[in-house]
Amino acid sequence: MPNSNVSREPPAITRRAFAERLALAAAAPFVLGDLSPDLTPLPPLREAERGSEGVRSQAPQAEPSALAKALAEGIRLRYGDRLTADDLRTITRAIDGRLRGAERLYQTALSNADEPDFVYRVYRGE
Amino acid sequence: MADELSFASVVELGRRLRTKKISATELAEHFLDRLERLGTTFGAVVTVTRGRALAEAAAADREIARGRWLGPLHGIPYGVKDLLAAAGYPTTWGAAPYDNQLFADDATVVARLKAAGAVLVAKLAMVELAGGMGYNQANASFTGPGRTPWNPDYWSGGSSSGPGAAVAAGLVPFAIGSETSGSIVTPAAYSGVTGLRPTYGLVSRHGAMALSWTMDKLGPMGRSAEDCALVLAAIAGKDVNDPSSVERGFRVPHPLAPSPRRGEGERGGEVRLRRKLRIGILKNADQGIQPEVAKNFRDALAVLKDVITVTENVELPDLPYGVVGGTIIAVEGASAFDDLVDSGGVAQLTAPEDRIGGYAALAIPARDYVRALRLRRPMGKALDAFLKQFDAVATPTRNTVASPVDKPFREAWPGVVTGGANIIGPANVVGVPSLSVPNGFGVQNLPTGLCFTARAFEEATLVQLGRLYQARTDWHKRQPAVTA
Repeated sequence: MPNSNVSREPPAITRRAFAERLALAAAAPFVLGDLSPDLTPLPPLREAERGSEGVRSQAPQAEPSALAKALAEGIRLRYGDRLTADDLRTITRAIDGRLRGAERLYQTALSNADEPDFVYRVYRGE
Repeated sequence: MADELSFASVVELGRRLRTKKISATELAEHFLDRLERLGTTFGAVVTVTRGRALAEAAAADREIARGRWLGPLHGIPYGVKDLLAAAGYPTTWGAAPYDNQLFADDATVVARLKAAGAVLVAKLAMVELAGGMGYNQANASFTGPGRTPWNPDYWSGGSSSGPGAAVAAGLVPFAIGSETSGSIVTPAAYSGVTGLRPTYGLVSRHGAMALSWTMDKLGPMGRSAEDCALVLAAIAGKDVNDPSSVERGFRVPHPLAPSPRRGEGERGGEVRLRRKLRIGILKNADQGIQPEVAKNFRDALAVLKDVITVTENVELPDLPYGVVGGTIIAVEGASAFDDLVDSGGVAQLTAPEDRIGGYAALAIPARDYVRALRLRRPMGKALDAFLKQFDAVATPTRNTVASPVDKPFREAWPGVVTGGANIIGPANVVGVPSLSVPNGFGVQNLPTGLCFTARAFEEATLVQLGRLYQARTDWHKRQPAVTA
């Protein structure tokens, strides 16, 4: 029997989680698909943390993490011949923002039985 | 006569066709002419499908003359977002690298509309690649920005920018848009039309450009909830070519009697509400947003007060919808356009940010993507349990009116929005439906939208809510001053 219990986050969001949301917003163009930055599907922030677009635009541009730089270096090695230094800085910031935001993926507990929400179906032709 | 046709509903146009006050060919000619004259004014059109339209209209006329009536869409012109394949015409995905792309067969949605007798008159403009490369401005299509007919200096919304603009300008009676996260309801709000984003899987995606296989939805945009329901009924249902499509189709619900106090049950073809509809209002939904949007939202709820009961300050389960949705869209989009990014073809895209937007997604670990997919089921269950408490949750569709076409989105309304409640992202991640109806105007004569979101496969409830609202208001009947 799959265990799909959702372990919710504590009611009071942590400072770190809030920072991650801001970082995610900074990376919006790269993680939001057809959502423009003002269409950001961020989880609702609590009142004290609100600022939405206003806060986002004021979010400091922190130095990207070493991991973000390393991942961006992989992009540079593969596609550097067509990317400018500005392009690579933008890509690095995007990767950094996504890495920070992605930590939230691991704050909701899953059990071993929680499978990805797709089902592989074996194929047999006529 | 002309304007009566341009802004007439599907229901009204169908009545004229059935009573032979107009032929399908005359109707097609009327809209073809408008598309050719006005399409570029609003950045709404990629290709006018004149040849196909006149052939389909002639076929409709022959059938109608024989007394063979295919249903409410028979002889009705329509347009599709240019990510749907239509045999014989380019399918550009709104992007220069694909401007000559041809497919041999119709998308399932196009084929189903053809089977219903509808007449394809145009492939409509869209944000390039449905926004999959992360655009941050209206000018992100090789046909230029979509412009809302209410004020062409402002965006018609995206990524279904053409369907929104074309319906609003009276260039087509209805259109098919697509939504991965916001791309039907946003242009519906910004263009002042009605948009219905169906439950994931209700409408086949076969023949549609893929941005996110697990989040893409196709749905109608039109003049009213009634019209959207008629279109949805024609396109919904299982398709062997789309494994994600579901068996259950959609039937247009019986009309509602005007008041729940007049009885229960069904009589004379009308369904009487057995009780008032339960509406949840998200906490902060009308706080810290553009004041006109907030006022229109509250006014809309007041209009419905005799048929709804409202629960204020409800909160979505606190789960990472944004990160999950963002990760899924980014990874699936990066894979769907792998060849374009890898070849450097993205450099031909219109918006500068789209030319490099695909690279960062290549660095997302598989672990994160699979984690996001694993979170989706418990997230869906939690949101379903939340939505189950209500018939629908109401929000302003967008927190502001449309952005100017010449500014990045983040500079459109600086400092105006400090709050609001977002349901577009969460609803799209789990795949539940929403309906956006026009509910007034804000600054710069720009329309605003009222959005209802419900449990999976509750499109009929959304349609009933839309009907109730549109029976009490005339926002959906307002016409922009469109001149050639």
